[in-house]
Amino acid sequence: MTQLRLTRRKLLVSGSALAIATACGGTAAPTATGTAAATGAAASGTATAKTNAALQAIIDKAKNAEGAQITLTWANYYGAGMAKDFLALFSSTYGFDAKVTNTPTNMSTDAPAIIQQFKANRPASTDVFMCTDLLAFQLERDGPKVGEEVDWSFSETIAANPKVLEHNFAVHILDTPRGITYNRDRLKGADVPKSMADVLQLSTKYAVASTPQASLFETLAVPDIWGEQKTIDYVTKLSKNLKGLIQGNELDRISSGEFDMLAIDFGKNVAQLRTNQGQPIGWSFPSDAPVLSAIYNVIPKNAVHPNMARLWINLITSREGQQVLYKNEFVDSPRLPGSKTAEDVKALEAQGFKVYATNLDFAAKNQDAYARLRPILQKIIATR
Amino acid sequence: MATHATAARRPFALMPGGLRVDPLAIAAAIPIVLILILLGAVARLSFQETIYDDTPTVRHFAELATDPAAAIALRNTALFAVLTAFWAMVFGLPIAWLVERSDLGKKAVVSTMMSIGVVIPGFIYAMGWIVFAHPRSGLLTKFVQSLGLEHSPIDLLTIPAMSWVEGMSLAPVVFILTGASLRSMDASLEDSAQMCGAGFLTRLRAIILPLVLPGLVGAAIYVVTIALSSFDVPLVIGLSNRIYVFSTYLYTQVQRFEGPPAYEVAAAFSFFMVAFGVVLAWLYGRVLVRARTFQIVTGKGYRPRLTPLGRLRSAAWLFLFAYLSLAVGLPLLVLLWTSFLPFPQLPSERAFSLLTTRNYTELNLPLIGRAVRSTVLLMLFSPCVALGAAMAISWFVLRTRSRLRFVFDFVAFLPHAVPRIVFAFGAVMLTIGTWVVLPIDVYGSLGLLVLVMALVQLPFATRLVNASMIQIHSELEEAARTAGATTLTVLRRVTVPLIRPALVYGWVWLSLLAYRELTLPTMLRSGDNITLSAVIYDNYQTGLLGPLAALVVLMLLVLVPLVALYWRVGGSRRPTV
Amino acid sequence: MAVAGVVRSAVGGSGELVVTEISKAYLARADGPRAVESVTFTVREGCFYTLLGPSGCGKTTTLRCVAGLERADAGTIELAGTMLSSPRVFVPPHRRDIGMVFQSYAIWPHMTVFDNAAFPLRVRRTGLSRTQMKERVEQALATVQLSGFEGRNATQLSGGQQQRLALARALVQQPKLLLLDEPLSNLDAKLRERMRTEIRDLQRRLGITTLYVTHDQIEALSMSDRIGVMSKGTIVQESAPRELYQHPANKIVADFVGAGNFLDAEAVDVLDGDLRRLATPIGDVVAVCDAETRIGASMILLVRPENVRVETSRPDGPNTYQGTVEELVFLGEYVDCRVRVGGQLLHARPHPTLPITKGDTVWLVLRPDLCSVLMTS
Repeated sequence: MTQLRLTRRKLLVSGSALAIATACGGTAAPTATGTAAATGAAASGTATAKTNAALQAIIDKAKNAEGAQITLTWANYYGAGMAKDFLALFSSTYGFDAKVTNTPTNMSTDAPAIIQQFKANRPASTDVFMCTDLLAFQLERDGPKVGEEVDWSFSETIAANPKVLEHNFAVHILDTPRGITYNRDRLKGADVPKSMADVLQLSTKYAVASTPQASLFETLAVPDIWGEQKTIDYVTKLSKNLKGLIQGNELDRISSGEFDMLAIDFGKNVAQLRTNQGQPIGWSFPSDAPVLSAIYNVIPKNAVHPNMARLWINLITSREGQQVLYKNEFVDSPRLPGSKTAEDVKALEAQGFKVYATNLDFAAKNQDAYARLRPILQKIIATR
Repeated sequence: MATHATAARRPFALMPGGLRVDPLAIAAAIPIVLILILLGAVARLSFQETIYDDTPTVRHFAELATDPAAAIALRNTALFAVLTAFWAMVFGLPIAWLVERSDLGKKAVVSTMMSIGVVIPGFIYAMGWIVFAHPRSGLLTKFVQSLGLEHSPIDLLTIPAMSWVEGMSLAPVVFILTGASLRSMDASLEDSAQMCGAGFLTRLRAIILPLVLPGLVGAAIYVVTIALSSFDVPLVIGLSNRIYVFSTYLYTQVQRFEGPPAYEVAAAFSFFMVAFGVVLAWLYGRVLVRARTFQIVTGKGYRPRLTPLGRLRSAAWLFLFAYLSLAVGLPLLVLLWTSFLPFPQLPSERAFSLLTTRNYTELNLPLIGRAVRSTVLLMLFSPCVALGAAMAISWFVLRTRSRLRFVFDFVAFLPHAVPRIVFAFGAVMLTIGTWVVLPIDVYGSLGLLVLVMALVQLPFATRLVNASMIQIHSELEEAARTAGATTLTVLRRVTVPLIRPALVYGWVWLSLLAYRELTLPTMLRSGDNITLSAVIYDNYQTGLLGPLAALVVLMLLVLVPLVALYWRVGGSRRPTV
Repeated sequence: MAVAGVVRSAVGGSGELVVTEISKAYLARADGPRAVESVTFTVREGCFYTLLGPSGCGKTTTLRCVAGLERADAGTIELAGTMLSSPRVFVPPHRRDIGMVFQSYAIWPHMTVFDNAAFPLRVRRTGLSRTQMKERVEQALATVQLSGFEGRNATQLSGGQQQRLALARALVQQPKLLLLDEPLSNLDAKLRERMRTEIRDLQRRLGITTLYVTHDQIEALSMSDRIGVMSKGTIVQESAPRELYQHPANKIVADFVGAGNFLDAEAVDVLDGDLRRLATPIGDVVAVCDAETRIGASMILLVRPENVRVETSRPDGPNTYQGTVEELVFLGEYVDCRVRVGGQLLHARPHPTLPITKGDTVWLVLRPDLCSVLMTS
């Protein structure tokens, strides 16, 4: 009985997966916005695979040996809504409650901590490290490969969508489109910025802010996108008109009118949350610099609750998990079937834009350039 | 008897049979050594390539020396610190005088209000002022524009304006320190000046000011050192306008979204600040010595007599009211307002329609519960450790003849001159195992936070204990010692009971300051030791201002009655410092 | 006896201090307990007047009212014909022509000896030239034997030197009135004795009107021209030192001013003139009493120890009492002796050479005119 149902479900899902896969055309070089497994077999699958003995073993260990506890340091993508919905999903999927201790920590300060903890044979400060492509790469490069190379065969989703697993240790969970956040009340009609060129032009009339770390500009400087010189020129010109620097989360300073727009922000999701709250926040994907920043989940080798971590990642990559993710955080992974972010990307590509997505290979290839450019760009943007 | 006396004078004595050390001397030496280790860690770090790569290099120093931005940041910092001290004195000193030397009355009430000033996190002040006076979006600007003027009269986004905000938030510190100075001045010195024919202004100029000046200068230096490493106001107001001071310059180096934090650059930069701080520490010591000679001279005298205010009374109350409105009322109002809104916005019809209690009902209780636990433990234990260490060190400095005592005294003041962020990442580097893996894993533990906090508070604690112990005649202790008591017993049974008011007073203030501290808990944080200030700051970083405001309001509701209780009950027995 | 209720006219010589009916409450409430209650006295020009009393009697408050450091709630204070304080007028302390020496000396630690002493001249617009000022200061310092100390930092002076500096500072402005608030209480015994004489001599030489406050009766008795004994805010007796000592008005004064033997007495017989026979616990005593004392009047008889003559054999004459020596303490200058007579223990001060020891039988003789009679109060 159970088997039949699953098969029917699988068919349905694989069918739609195929449909989406063919719809999302391939894009140029750095992108990994790939299709779901074209093999047609078990596609995204749900996580309740009771027939999967390996999964059941993990569940048992998580419940008994690890006491259903998981320690996290997620500062992003884990708001109140996400926490509530995801934990409910966890309970209904695995049949027991997860006991989460989350201490929001800046991921870039967590990374060296985890590396050092591993080197010193101490337990990691988080069971599932959420990080950008650059930070994941750092774990690989600076530590004796701190991320555990998990055998994901128990996970229907990951097994069926190998593009989601990079360098054998980092699981891609979402892409966040980066762009321009602006005050909807003050920028209307023709003044709504649609591209970085718009931003530069509007910066003489309106109060434009950027981030102190010149976020994403170093990515734009890769030869495939803008190239170094164009980026430096742009940042230099922008910096002259810039009215200030704020963090990507300080969007209340946009809605209060202190600044009129922020470029480049931390992601569409940050803006979307506030728009839904009723704040006068608008968001644009810049047509001349459409970049998706990848976010991964890594299980450190020295994680205290590795089995809970596996269950967690398995869930977040599953279709229901991705849906919960998108519902609360407005982003998901285009590499997985059913992705709404993939639809947004598709829409843009239909308009003729070339969307770039970052990933670990991308980070590996460009990290020297980043290291060199970052201080230069930051200095330009930091100086009045 | 002889051995006890020897113990008093020479705590490290080479006796036949080996090195004999007084246990109290060890207790004094431990914090000193820890401070030196932390600073050593930072020094070491500044000569490394990166936190992972320990190839020795002087590159960072060279780059900093040639970086015009670093020079600008240093210059801004100096200006900011001096102006902050100025504004803090302008507000704090008159209020201290009004409370201590005039017949204004209502001491407990005013002191409580000033204490609230300490308890409000610094960046809340800054936020409040942005709401109020930002040249583009502030209430004042909108008001002024509605009157037809194009620009607001105040440009908040400048160093002078920032130091006004910071100065106002530090006035309570000046209030405590100068209050102590004013209280300890013998009133008969003023009376005799009157009898010699000096009117009020002459007395002020010729007698009062010269006598309280060392105390005032000491307070000013103290505030300058706080302002030098001040973070919240420059972050919220200055950074947004690309005006950097030392702390925000470091912040841009250290806090990155993508890359690893460049602690090594921060360490190199700190060198300059430490050098600067050392000079200040030396200056401060000199000023204190002079202040003490004035104290010793005064005879019995009367109780400090209060100057009647007469017609100036209403002006005094007006001044107090103005300061408290701006410094306490404004941020509180902004807080309260924000706590009832889904997202911050200026008062408007729409805003009123959106008022909600959701921020209170939807607080992340598990996280807050953990934070409360950590914060309470921090507030309880770090003052104890700090005061305990201060007692040992003060004993060592004041009661022994060891040649090391000047070193101890100096190192005990250093943490005040060294920016907190420096201490914090020294501690991080050490405990994370950058160079050597410690036998016990203390990284991210509450114990580590308590310890580092205590070390950072050591200067204030030592100063307080020093000033009190000096007033106790050593004969009182010597009598106990000749009766056969060990040094520890003397301390416990004679000294501590005598200086108890100072200890309680110091404990309360250190506890409040521990609560308010942001830099240390942020740098040293982990799941085990996250504090309320860190949670609040997190909310700020993630733009969750509503919940932030709700949380701060709740915390104030708890803390303020406690503070008021202290001033009511124990406030009258304040010690002279 | 208190000099009560007389309102002086505004005519006083230069330097005469007239204090009339001043009162001051402890707290701000008008109906509260009073620190000073209707105190009235006059200090004639050039006179050394002492307010004597235990702590809390109001003497310091009175002095501070005269100085202007406190404001009396009622009454007037006049100096040299100028009204300093009244319900309508109040001259602030820095405008009164008064010099004051404080109990703690109040020497300013941040100034040199010269600067301390020169302060009044610098601050009041005296119209003196720099040289004249320097001369005056040096003179003042010489008067108190601090010549040569001009350049020293004030913190380097000893207690006695500081006190002299305080005195010099008070006198340098040549005030009409000099106030001294227990200036000797912080000195050791030897120094105190020396300063007593020095201050007294200085005052006589300068002829400056002086108001002195102390709780030490020896200071009061040895230095003053007149003493006002204060208790609980009022002056209970005011007279010259000798009279005060020998004829205290009541037990309070007597007890405070010198030691004494107090005997309950009742007049039983009238003798010649002012003499009365009094029945006391030690027997009948013939004493000089008030002319109006009748038979049956009860009173307290005060006999100073030094007025009790001790004899080793029974003498002739009245007022002789036999007793046993219970205690004998040799104090260098005199011998303190307790003699039990009947049920009473009397205090006597025999000459040190008198060969008596504990347990001896002795005879005490009281001179009628050396017994003071206090009316029961």
